[in-house]
This record gives sequence, structure tokens and C-alpha cells, in this order.
Amino acid sequence: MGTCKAAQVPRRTDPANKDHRWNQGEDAVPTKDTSARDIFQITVGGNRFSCARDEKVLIAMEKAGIKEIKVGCRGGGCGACRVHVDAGEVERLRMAKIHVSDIDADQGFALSCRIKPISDLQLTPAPKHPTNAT
Amino acid sequence: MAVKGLMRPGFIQVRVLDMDEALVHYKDRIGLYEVCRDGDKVFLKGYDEFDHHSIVLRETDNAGVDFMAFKVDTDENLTRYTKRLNDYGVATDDVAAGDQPGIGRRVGFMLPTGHRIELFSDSEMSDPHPEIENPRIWPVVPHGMGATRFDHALLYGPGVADAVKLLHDCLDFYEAEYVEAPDGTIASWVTVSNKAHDLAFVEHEEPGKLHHVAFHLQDWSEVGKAADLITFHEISRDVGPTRHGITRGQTIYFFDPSGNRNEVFAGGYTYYPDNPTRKWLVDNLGRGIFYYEGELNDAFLSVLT
Repeated sequence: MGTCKAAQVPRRTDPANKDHRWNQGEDAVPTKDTSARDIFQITVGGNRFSCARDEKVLIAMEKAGIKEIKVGCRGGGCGACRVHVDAGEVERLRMAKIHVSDIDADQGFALSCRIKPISDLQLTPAPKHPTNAT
Repeated sequence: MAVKGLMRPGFIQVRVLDMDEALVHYKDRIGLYEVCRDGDKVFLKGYDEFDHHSIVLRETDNAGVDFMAFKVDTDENLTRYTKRLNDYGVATDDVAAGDQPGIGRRVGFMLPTGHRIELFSDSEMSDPHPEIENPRIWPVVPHGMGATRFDHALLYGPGVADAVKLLHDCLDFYEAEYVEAPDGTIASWVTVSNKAHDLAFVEHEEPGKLHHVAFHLQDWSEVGKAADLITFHEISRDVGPTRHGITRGQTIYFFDPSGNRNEVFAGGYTYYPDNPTRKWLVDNLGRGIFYYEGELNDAFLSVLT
């Protein structure tokens, strides 16, 4: 056997494919330039991961392969991913009040599947058992 | 039995956080049809159902289930079932005809598990429904996952054994399968029909919780197509496609945009009321729930609305 040279496989590329939303995070509107997105650092427990401004924090954590926060329904209904926002600013989407009451929200509690970062965030998991306890 | 008296699940009322998102999910993805709207509620059905509606979505601050209603064959039997409940010591209340569009009078009561169950006997037909004269297999071409109908629900709450006894003694439910732990029954699948289950329960400290609402699909290949749609539309998936040992259903679980778990499934055995109740010991529960994997995941048991 002679020297093996890495073969150059001729591959067609599809420039449109990089616009697929899978490559840009959930709910992202496809844009040509992904570098234009604001990216924030999320710290939870001993872990840190990146989350785009238009991305839900729990989804970004799952993509990063981190399991610090429990993943439940991902829809704001079950309460599994409840956290306390220790530091930073978030955009809140609607979430079940049985898990995060208005008072809870004022105190910084949230379901991490229903928040998007406006700054770097420091989070602490804060599940409630039973879920309907006050 | 001969499916007289209490016949089947009629409809279920589910709470959602955002009606617009919920309608995309239940209509475009699962494949249900909108029948009508009334205030904060939207009424839906599958294409293979005659009755007025089978799913009611109610927009509010929380997810979960308001109640599930079962259909009785006649008004006389509705009165008889009410009397049996009252004689058993269960308080019932009356809901007037027309409270829900197309549905006659209803009788409601609470199960020990903290769930409201209702009975009704009268429903108008609504479109789409199966054709009656020279029927084609569909009245419309199915879309999305192609759910044929609402099938059953799994409810979580305390006192499952008491609830199942009540349903058997008062409403002619039979228990098709159950899970036995050292300290008693922890889960039960009950039926009023030929289906392996019309309703199921898991023992849980919190009352009134919803594990899932299930829709029937035509066959296993449709479960695969549902999985393809779940991935394509980035729907929050829970488990599957896989098969249950309990009931033998072929299944996939996912969540609606408010976090209520849904199941679409096909198959399952035919049940008759002389069948022995099948027993699962708790150390075999993994195989009972997920027949191929043989083990449960934590979220499937604990994530509820």
C-alpha cells in the first residue's frame, strides 16, 4: 500500500441550508448573518452556557448538553424547570400561575422554558413540591 | 356489556395558556377540526367522530384538565347512573342542556383523585363526521397527524383504588390492567367499552392533575408520521415512538404549547368484561409502560399539568 492521500470528495453545497431554523435556535427568524445576534452567558450551578437573545433559556441549556435544570413540558405548564433569577434581566413569556404567581415573578422566580435573556444571567433551580404549594 | 349504558369518553375540557398557539397545535398539527367558539372556549373534534365535539380548550392562567365527560346511551340511563352515584354516597350536580354547544344536560361529580367527571346522553352531530350513506373512509382528507378521535386520558391523583371501585360499582367500568406495589394499587387502566382503556389513573399526592390526553391514529405508520411532524415542527417531544406493554398501544408522547402532555397512538388489544384483570408488579413497570426500552424516564412519571 502506498501513501494514502485523503480523497477530495466533490460535494455540492446548498447555501440556503444555513438559513434553516435548526441552525439558529428555536423560533428564530432566519437571518443571513448569525453573528449579528446578541448572545448572553447563562450560569446555573457550576455550569455555564450560551443563550441568544431570542432563545428560551431551557432550550439553550438542553442544546448545550447541560442537565442542571430539570426539563419538563417546555411550555410553561408543568413547573419542572422553575428557577430563581439571581442576577440579570429576562423577557418573560406567559407561564402557569400555579407555578409562578405574580408575587413569585416579582421576587425573581420563573419557568426557564418561558424566559429569554436580556443580559447575562445567574440562575438557581427552584422547583416547588408539591407544585400547587404556596 | 354490549356497550350499553355508559358507552365511551365523550369530551374533555383542557386548560391552555394561549389559545392561538393551542389552536395551531390541536388543529394544524394533531389534525382536529374547529366546530365553534363560545367566550374563552374553542370546541374541536376529530374527523371520525359523530358527536358535536370531543375537545374543549379553555384559555386561562394555568394548564391542566377541567373535567372529562362520558357519554351514556339514553337519558333514562343517565338518570339511573345519577341515582347509583347518589346511593353510593357521591354528591352530583346538574349542568343545564346547552351549557356547552350541541350537548344536552350533564351530571357532574368528583372522584377521590380530585378530578371532575361528567355524564351526558345527548349530543348533536357536527361536521366533519363520518358519512352515513355509502360512506367513504373519510368525510374530509385527514391533515397533520390525522387524529381520528379523542380516545382517553391518564389522570394523576390520590385514592386511585377508591376511584376505580367507585367507577366500577356506580358506572360499570371494568379494570383491564393495574400495577401493584407492596402498599397497594399505584396505577389502573379502566374501560367501559371494548377498548383496553377509556381512562387511566396513577397514584399521586396532588389531586386533579393531568398526565396526558390521547388521540387515536389509524395505524403504526401514522405514529411514525406523527413523529416526523413533531421533529419538523419542533414540537416538545417526551417519549417515543415506542409501544406500551400495558394495553399494547403503539405510541408517541409530546406536549402542547401550554405544557399539557398529548399522546397519539394506534393499536391496543380488544377488551371484554370477562377478561381477567392483568396485573403488573411494580418492578416490571418499565416494561409495562415502555415495552421496548424496558425502563421509565423520570420526566414521563413526574411531569404533569
